[in-house]
Amino acid sequence: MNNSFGLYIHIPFCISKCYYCDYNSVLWEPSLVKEYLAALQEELKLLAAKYEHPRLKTIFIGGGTPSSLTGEQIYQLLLAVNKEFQVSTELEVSLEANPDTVNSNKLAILKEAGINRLSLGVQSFNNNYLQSLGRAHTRQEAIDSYYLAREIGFKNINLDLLFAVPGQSLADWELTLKRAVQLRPEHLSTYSLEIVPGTVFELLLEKGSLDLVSEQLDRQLYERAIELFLAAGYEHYEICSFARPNYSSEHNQLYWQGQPYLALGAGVHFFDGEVRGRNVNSLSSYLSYLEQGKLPLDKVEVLTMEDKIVAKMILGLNLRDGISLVEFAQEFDKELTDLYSQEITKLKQLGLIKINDNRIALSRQGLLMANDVLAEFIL
Amino acid sequence: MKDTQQQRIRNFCIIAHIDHGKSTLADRLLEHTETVTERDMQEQLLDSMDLERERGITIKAQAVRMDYQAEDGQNYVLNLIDTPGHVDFTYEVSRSLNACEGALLVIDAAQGVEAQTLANIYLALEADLEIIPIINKIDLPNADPMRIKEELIDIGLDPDEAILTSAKEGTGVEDVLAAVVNRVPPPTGDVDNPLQALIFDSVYDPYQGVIAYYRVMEGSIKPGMKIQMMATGGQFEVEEVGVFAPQMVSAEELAVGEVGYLIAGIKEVKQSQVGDTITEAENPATEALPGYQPAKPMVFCGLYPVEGDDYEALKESLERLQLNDASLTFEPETSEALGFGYRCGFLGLLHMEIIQERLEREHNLDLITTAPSVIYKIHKSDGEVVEIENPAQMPERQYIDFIEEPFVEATILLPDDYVGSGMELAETRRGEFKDMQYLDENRVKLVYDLPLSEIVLDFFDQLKSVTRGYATLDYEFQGYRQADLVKLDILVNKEPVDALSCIVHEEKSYQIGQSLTKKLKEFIPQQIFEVPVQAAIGSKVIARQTIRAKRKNVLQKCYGGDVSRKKKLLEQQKEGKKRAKQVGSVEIPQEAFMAVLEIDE
Repeated sequence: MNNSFGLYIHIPFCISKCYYCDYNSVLWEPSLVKEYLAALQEELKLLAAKYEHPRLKTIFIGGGTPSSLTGEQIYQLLLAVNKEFQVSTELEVSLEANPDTVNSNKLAILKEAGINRLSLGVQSFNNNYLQSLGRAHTRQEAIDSYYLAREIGFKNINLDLLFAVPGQSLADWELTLKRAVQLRPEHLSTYSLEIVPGTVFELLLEKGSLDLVSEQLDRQLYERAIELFLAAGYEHYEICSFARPNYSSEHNQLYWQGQPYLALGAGVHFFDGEVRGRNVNSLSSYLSYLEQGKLPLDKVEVLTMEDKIVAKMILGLNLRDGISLVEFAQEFDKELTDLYSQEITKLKQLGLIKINDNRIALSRQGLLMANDVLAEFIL
Repeated sequence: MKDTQQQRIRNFCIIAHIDHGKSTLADRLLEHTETVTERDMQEQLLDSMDLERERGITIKAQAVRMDYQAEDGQNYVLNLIDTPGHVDFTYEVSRSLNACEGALLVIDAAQGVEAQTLANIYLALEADLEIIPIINKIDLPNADPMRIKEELIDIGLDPDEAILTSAKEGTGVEDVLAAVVNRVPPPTGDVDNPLQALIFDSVYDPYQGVIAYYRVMEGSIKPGMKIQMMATGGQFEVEEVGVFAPQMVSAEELAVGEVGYLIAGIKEVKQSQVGDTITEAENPATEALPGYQPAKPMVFCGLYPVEGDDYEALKESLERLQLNDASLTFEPETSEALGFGYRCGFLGLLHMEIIQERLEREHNLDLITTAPSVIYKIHKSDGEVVEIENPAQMPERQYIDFIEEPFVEATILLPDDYVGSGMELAETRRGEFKDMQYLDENRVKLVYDLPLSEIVLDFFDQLKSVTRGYATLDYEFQGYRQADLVKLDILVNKEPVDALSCIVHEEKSYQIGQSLTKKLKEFIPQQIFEVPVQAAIGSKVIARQTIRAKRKNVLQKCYGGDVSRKKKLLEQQKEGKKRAKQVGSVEIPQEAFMAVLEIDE
């Protein structure tokens, strides 16, 4: 049944580490990059063989900072993908790029290589916040890289924007939002900053030198983003994602819809339809696995029916149009509303979910409380 | 002069406030009489439990026998009986004192007499003991023996008889021993009379069963003898008798005046209660020694395991502690909010703390403790009187004629600078002023009648805090008095939380309701809906706080298809809810139950 997959490729290198980031990344270093890319090629072959060279629905190159690679390196990588998997020309192929790591030459090669969707890690159009976040680019670099990509011919560009940055006011955020809308990208993603262990921000928080955004302001920032994006003609299709019609991210939608995706690289996660798993996290063990010609699997779990249902719920509800009750019943042979009757009654009473046209989805209020609502569906 | 051996026994105890040097003095006496060599000397030998040593208090009585050659060249047997040093154990203290003829009153040369010491001096005088005042710690730079001597006059003791010592440096120890021989009278009693032995403590030993500590008041006791406990009625055959040297050394016989132990196949300390009289079953004494009281708990609380699975372990631990502690009671109890646990009875607050600490430390249990309560007498409209120690048992208001609560007479000693704050505190705790006296220029004795329920709610901590730690407290049970008491219920999201109910005075109910609801608001996390926290008497709400609904979650990026991370996060969220106690649709974290115990007014 699952003969086609999304493919995620992880590039764990960064030129510098942002102060809020706890993702799997290491400092960029040419010889290490080479070794890693060689290992990726090896894994690619093993993986493609394991799944009998399947068809791909989407490709997403994320990081780290994928754009820290040279254009040629990315080109070679995608060439290898093309060789091992069945890839059609209309395929969505996304790449995450930081404004400080692109130039017209590199962008041209990327386009040539088949990248047709660019996701720019802008985060803010305010230099003060860019600095306080530890980003390596300026506001002007972000704008320049955007126009450059347009010139080269990228027709599908996403901007990532971060809110609830310590010290941020509603007025500051509005300026960033308006600048983003003026650029008219096809897609916008926005997340609130979370202070997580192992980051510079955590240390600053412990020292008490972070002016944290209140829960109330956090909410206002988010609501303002929704308002401005909707007014500018974007569709709010997932909690954090906005798109012009027909430009929602196909790759991300695979995740939310619970469709299978394979993954390459250190620390990546995958779900092949039956098994969910992840690769080893550390770069050195990743490399040594592949040196021995073994898939670098760290942990795999065969999903039970219950696991699948929970995944369906906690992913599907992120989408604004939620989960189809009919499809749920077909997939699991159970009525969603029976299975979760108590939770649904409670959440409906609280106005956090709605059921319309045979779909269950978060209400506007439920969007704000997504974690609390989703936690109710853990079995 | 019937028996010269009897004439050369001296039975005495040491009365002292915590930290005034009782244990150090006892150690010096043991060293000086070569009962223990310095090498074998465990620091402060008599307080054997870790907890006792840590807190500087004595929980169980102990005894030790010393052989001492006096100036007259004769060999004397000196039995030192160590007494518990806390108000919770007043009854135990009084029994220990009754086993003696004399008492060393140890007073810190800098700090003077404290409330607890005073209470024990009265007990000693009541028991007709010869009191030898000892002014200790004269080596301290701020020692003021002259002032202490004046205090002695105030209590009715002769200051000229006081011995100055520094137990730390060993000064005056010889004088103390000489005074014990010369001033403490030898035991009276007749070895030919039927056996009467006073039990002043019992301990449980897993190998030998109960070991009873006693003083032979009349007659004698030896292995093979069939004995009877006169109050509790049990009969046992004596397997072994002996003395404490300080380790147990068996003897052929213990005759009148002697102090020692016996082993007689006794299974639990309940069968060998402090204050009971041991007699010979076949040749019983006509009456028991006076003063026996069955162990009676005064303070109660619910103990619940944090992990429901620990319920059985808690039961076993309580049973084990009870083997050694006749005053600990417990019975199963169920709380809607806390699940299965035990309602436990204690002699007082310290006793309660000690048991809790031993359960947590020695038995490795995590516990939730409900607010301590006392026994109320409920006079119902139909004439029935019920005694309740748990707010949950309180009948509804319309069935109650009136309620009585236990009162104590509290003696507070404090520096005169703090008299105002001490009195204010006693009065906010519904205290009735009875007496005030200057012990010396700076120190004042206050006497108040106070409801026991007020004392059990952190009165002593508060007293310490308003007097910067200078006040000492003692209290004695007085009797029951009628009071306007009501049951205060706490409702979270309109659902009553049984474990948070308490019985309070009507006049203070508003204030307590306010403070409880505020505390809970702090500790109950925001939910996705608004949660009212109310305090109510019957159906009348007297205080209300609102926990605002949570306004927004953090919007995390679900990165690179990392479903596990998201799921784990949500699972943690859900798990946190599971660990909390579910009351209706609200999860109340354990800390909330703990926090309400510390009501600061």
